[in-house]
Amino acid sequence: MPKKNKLTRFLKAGCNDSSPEFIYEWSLFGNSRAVNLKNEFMRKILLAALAAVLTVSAHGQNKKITISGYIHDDATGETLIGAGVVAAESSAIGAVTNDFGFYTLTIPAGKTTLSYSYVGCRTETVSFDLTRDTTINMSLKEADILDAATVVARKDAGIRSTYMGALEIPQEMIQNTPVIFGEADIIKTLQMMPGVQPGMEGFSGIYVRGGGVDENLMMLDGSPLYNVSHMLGLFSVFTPEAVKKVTFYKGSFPAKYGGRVSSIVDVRTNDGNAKGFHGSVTAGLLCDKLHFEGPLGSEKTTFSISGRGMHTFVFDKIIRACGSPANYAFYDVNAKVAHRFSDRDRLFLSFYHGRDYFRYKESDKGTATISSGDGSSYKEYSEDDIKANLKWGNMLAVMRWNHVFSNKLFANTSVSWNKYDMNIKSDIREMVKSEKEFYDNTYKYGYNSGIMDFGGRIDFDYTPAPQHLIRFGTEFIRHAYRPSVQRVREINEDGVKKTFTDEKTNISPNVYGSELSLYMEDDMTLGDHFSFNPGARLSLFFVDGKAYFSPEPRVALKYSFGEGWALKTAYSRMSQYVHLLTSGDISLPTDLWVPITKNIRPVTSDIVSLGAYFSGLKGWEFSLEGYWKRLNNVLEYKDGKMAFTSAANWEENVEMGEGRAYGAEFYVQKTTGKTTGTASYTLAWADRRFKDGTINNGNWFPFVYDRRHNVTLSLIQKLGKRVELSAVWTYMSGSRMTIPTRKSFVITPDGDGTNDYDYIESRNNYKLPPTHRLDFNFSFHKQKKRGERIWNFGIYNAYGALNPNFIMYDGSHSKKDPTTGEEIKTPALIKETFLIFYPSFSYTFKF
Amino acid sequence: MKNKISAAFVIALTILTSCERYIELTGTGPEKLLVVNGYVRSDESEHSVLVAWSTFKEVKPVNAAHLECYVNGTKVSETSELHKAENSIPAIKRMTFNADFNAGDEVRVVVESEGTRVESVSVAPKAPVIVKADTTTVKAKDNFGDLENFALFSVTVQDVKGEDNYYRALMDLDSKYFINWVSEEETEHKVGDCVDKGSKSLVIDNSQEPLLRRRIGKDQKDDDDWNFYNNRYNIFTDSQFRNSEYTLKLIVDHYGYLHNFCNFGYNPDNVKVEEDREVVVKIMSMSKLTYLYMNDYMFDHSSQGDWSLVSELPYPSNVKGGTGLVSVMTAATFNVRLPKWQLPNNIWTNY
Repeated sequence: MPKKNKLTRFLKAGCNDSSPEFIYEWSLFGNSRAVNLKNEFMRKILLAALAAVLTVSAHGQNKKITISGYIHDDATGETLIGAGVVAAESSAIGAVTNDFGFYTLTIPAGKTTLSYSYVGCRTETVSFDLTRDTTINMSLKEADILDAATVVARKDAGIRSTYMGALEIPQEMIQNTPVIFGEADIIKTLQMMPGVQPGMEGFSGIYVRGGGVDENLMMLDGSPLYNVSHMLGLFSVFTPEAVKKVTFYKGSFPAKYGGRVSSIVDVRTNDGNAKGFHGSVTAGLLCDKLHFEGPLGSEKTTFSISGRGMHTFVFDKIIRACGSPANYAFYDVNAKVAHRFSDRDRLFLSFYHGRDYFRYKESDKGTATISSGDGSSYKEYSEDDIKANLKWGNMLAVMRWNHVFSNKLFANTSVSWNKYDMNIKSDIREMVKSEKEFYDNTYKYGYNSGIMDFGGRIDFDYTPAPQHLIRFGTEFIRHAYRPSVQRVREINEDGVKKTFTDEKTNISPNVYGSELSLYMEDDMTLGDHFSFNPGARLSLFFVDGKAYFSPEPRVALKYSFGEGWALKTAYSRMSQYVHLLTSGDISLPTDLWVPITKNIRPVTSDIVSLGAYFSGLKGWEFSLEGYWKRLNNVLEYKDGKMAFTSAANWEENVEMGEGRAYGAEFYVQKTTGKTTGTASYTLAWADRRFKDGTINNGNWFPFVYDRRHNVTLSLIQKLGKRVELSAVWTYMSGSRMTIPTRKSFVITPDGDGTNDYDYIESRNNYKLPPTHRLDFNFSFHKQKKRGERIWNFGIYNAYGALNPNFIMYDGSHSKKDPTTGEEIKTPALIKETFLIFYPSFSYTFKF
Repeated sequence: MKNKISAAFVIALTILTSCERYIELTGTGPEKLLVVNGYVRSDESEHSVLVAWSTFKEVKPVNAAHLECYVNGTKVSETSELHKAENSIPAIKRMTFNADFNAGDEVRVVVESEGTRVESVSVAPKAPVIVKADTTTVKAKDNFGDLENFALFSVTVQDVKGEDNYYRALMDLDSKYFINWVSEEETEHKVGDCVDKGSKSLVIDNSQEPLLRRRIGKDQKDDDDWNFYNNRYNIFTDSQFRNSEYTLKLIVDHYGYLHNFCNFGYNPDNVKVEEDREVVVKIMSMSKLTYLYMNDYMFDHSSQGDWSLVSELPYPSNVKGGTGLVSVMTAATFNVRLPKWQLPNNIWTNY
């Protein structure tokens, strides 16, 4: 028997026990297979043996060798994104795993010690004496309490990243952030970040550093989602149980991202537990959730499936049976299958489908006695039926292939199909039947709009030398926009004949766009103090026979000094080829995504950032960032226009202009220990100007969410092993709205004066009162025989702050004059608050 | 159990109850603002502005005011007379004054009332050149679907070079009535006497002129709808013919410009009256502010101007110290003489 086969048997014999998992590549021994070692004792023996073998053939210290591999969660087998590997010799020599858990690290040959770390996991330190390129896969065990991860120089996000304004949103923060109805929500967690603010109180839209709601790229497994809201924006479409990692960029952007000008939200879903079948079942105040994951046959193939639906969706039939004429529901399904062919090749299939659904049905029928003019009477039977259905949602399918060409070159290739559509169907029927009259008329109305993308991309991570991580790739997306199609059918029956009238109207014609992008960047480490990331993205968009070319330079520079101090600066240019025509605060199904046209140019942004950071205090991170942002070709509805008017000729109703935003953000995060949390303060300005003059007469005016101050304090406190308390307090300056401030008159073009009219001196001229609230959430964990039981109790807006959820102008509000007691009319704002002291609960069983 | 039920009731009540509050608005800026609105045109010598007080709750009349008009720094007229403004609410008063000016002149209008002094300063914009204007008769369906005669005016305009320009197209009909035949019994009048004259603005049908017509994909002529509002005041920019010529196609209903104004009483058996007609085509050059103001007005008074869901329009203002718009416009005119037309015997007379 050959020597390596003996060793294989020897190693496999040690794999029967529990974690930690430790994986070595057989190429060290002249073979490319990998095996798992799960026993601590066996691992040490192997390390010793390995070290001995490698030492024999060790070369001099000048030789560089490259280590690559995957880092997994020991308990689930999930690859860990953003896990760090660092050499003990120098913290400047380090690497982090990419979006697929893969890392590459080039270090001097010979004896070395590597530390593998990840937030929430125990740091693993192993020593080697290496002589040639090799693959080392590592599994990390969960820590009892949150501990600081080993400092890694090269991170994609976080305080140690070269990028600015790049944040990793911990899963624990998402799960514990108290939100309305107790539904954990990624977007609402993002709203706690500095520079990010919600639109309307309690809703899911985000406005980042003075940008619009459509300027945020929401990516699910690397593919964009267009409508990420449920229930008019109260919830986002991301089911937390399906999510592995959320990374958020708002300042400087890796070159691989493009397509939006204000922020990127990159959501990665679970691959599935490779170690066993697990799952969770949750019943909440509003929704029920199921999540299952596990291996399919062997550890090589895993699946993850999550579903979430409102109670009203699950019990729709009962609601119908109870006679309710209307129902609203939404649901989401996430599914993913991952297969590992080898350590070099992995395949992923992911699927998402989410839908909002509203139905209304009412029927009125009866028989009446009709008197004739001659004194006789007759019976008349009549029937009026109204039926309406409204559905909207996303569907996304992605196939991804990871291939490791060599220890230095990793490739991710994916093809995706993405569809968002909205359909309205209504039937109205009027029927009258009597001895004197008969007619049966039906009016059928159908309306749909949507957008469909088909795209492919390939991304490479190339590490030619320890100081360089070069990322490059290309992407192509074919967009098909169907702004709106309307169908009407009338069926008229009068007892003699039945006539049909059909009409189909393309209110706006379909538009097709093709987007091609190329990008490259080099994440460079220059000595122990500097890291520098120059990059560029070149994008082409073809639409209406016109091609738009957008070069997007990106650069980020970081200088580290002292004990945990760093200074960073960055510049990014971004381009955007789609717009969302929306009425603003709430997410309506009629909101329309439209592409740029030959008249409407791409939106671009130039963002300059400067910041100081400190992470020298264990478990604490401090950052202070300043930014200046310029937006070009932003769209805004012309004065007096709104989305409802825009299905046809929408270009006529909007105007292109410029925007500017600047401010400073202070952020503190405590990442370790029993008490963790964040504190952030944002001081910000945001303005718009539309020189053409159709908006605010061409003058600068404050952006609707030009909120000057924004404070968020969040706390997660472990109260023993079984209880967790989380609390969030937020304070925001009021947003802006346009209201009349006095009565005046205008002159007609014929030279006459008009009646009184409400005079407005400028757009967004009124600053609403500030909003604030305190939210709580308690989690009670208990280990049961077959799993873990979790009770969640939350209170949204605990002290009942009367923050406006809807606000409108009333020019003639009635009130009593305090001196005369007479009723007088006075202008006022009507402030509706319906999110006051909202308790919620949910029950989860994890197994 | 009772406590549990009570707690559940309180929670349900909280969930189902929303809270409505009012934020009273007290207005911004001074309690009273002097409003001055008016059009000052180079093709007229007599001008007027409308004045009133704007307050937080209502428009109030100006009881006393003084107006001065300056052209290139020289006072050319002043007045303290306040007149009733026709077709306006009673609180609005009209002040009339005289001023002659040309393109490039600075026109300053100062109004003072109750110690408040407001002023508007504008430079009269350069006028375009109307190179030519031709007219032909075309047949087309009217609003009722009947085939009728229309007069099509082709007006060629040379843009003012080197700047963005904003224009308005207007057409007036000037008529003079002459006696061209008298019977032997007629002794009071003789041939050649001008017995009446009149002038009126013509309603322009801009449906065939894409520069004025803003409708896309619609067939109806005049009605505003959710996607369109009629450019009833025929304003346009030079964005599509900058620094060059453009021929506007303006249509006038035959009845619109054939109808006479003759109030001369005569016996058609003794006297024949001839109408001498001239259509005056005017292209008014205006500031961008005026263009936006008129555009706002048209939108505001269309069916799209429904302010229950969106904010009203912030009309532009150029009145310092107060509010309003005093627009100075320069006119280019071109006279199109129409064939003389003898009034038919059956036309209405006051004989």
